Amino acid sequence: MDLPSVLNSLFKLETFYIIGNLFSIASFIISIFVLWNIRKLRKTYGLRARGPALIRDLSRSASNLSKFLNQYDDFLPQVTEELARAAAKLRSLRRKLGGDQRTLVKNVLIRIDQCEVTVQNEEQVRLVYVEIVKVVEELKDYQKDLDWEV
Amino acid sequence: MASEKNKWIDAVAKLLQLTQDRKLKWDPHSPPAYLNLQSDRQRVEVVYETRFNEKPIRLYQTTYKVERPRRDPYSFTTSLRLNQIGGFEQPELDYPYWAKKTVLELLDESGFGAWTFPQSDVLDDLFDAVTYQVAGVKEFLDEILAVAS
Repeated sequence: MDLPSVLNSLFKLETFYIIGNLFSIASFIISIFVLWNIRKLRKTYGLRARGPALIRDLSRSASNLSKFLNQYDDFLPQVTEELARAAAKLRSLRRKLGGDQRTLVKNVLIRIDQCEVTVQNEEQVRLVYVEIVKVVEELKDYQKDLDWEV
Repeated sequence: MASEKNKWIDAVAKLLQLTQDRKLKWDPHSPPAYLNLQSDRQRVEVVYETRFNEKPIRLYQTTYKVERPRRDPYSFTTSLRLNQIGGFEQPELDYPYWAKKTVLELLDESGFGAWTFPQSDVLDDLFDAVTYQVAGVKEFLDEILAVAS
């Protein structure tokens, strides 16, 4: 086969169709990848900007809950208020998180929603308190890891 | 790693519950001399002690001086990167400053700290509960409310 005939068979309209299709598939994949990265970046920077304050507030809520547990029966309305405050902070954090941390926060939110603040329910409130403390510790560690990511 | 840390949080939370339920009684003591050997850098005012399953435990809050960290070339570039990326500059701290840390220790027979629990917020809550118990805040509140009514 001589060169002109090879070039002729290569520069057919079908060949350009195939190349065009391959490029559009590749650019679609790249767009998805870029979109995914932008989402991740937005979450990371959202957490960097607001994370420390939210984690501090959540830690303060846990600390207040612990104080109310010194005399649980006398502080039922305050416990309800504090749980609502903690839930609001957790919801805000959930939007900025992904993966395991998001699941962890979601689970605590479910626990708070299911927790009825009554005299008989001290044990459940205590469990929620411990879960909040664990989330705070986990998020503090995550925040430290985040500082090393570019 | 997280589950290991959670185990310690669960353990301290249990001590917290026992303290708040008045099942664990803490006593205040003067701190042993070795805790205040460098009083210009670290101070302990009072320690609280109890026994759990015959094991002596000590809880205290230490106030310690934080000096300006030394900068080697590596940490300089790191801090430059951390502080400036994304425009989230951290405020410059005034060094030296004093910070607080709660310490929970298992003691050996001679009263020395044999092992220290890992740091977590629940230790501060335990310290609050212990001071609440030792200061008799519950009884004080009950007395006030009894007079008021």
